[in-house]
Amino acid sequence: MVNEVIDINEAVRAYIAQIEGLRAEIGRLDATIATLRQSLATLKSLKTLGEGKTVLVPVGSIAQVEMKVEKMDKVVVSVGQNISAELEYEEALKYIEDEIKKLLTFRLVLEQAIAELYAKIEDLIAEAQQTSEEEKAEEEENEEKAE
Amino acid sequence: MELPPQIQAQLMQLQQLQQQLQMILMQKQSVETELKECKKALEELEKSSSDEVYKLVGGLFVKRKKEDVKKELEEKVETLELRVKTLEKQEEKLQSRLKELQEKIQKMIPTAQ
Repeated sequence: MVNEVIDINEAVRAYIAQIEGLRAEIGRLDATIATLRQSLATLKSLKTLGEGKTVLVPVGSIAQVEMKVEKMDKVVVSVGQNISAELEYEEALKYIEDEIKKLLTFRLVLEQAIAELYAKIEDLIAEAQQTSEEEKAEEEENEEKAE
Repeated sequence: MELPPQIQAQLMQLQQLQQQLQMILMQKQSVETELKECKKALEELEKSSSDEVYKLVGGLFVKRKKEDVKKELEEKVETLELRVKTLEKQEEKLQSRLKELQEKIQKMIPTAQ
């Protein structure tokens, strides 16, 4: 009985560690998705603003410099492997949107994995409760017999 | 009950093989991820109408000819594919050695009892 409880305890701890790992991964994904959404919003705003308009470009965290929007029909996008390529404005938007979709799909997979782990933990807790109740009943039966 | 030293030695070897296999699988996964990234980068480069692309060198973007970068990426893909194949062969060998050893240990256990 004691060994069984220890085993269940260890299994629950292992599942919780896995859940924590998955949650951290989801956190990282959310940060990337937020950055990509910000890029989309910025690109759309600049396009709406139009060429020749002045914007403030952040330089570090507390400073900004004025710059004029010159060309918005081309966007340089990172394509991985430390390489960035010039894409048409619409293509760049689609590329970023596709990246967001892929990340959201992956996020869903991770969430499902977390739900499955929680279900496993619940099963283990139920198993532990049942073992404990059986043990209790057995003890009571033994006590009655002894009396 | 203590296991005979011969079985203990075989079990230790089995554990080492399992660790080696784990390492190979991790390496394979990492190479496969890089390969996927390289192929995706190549795919995206095709979409760009410009003849020039930018490569991040240190903290700076350096303008490079698209064809040169494509060639570099294609060579990298070739190298990575070769590495994946090598790792797959190593994985197969280790799997068969593991299987052999497991069978050997299983045969030894009844005689030890």
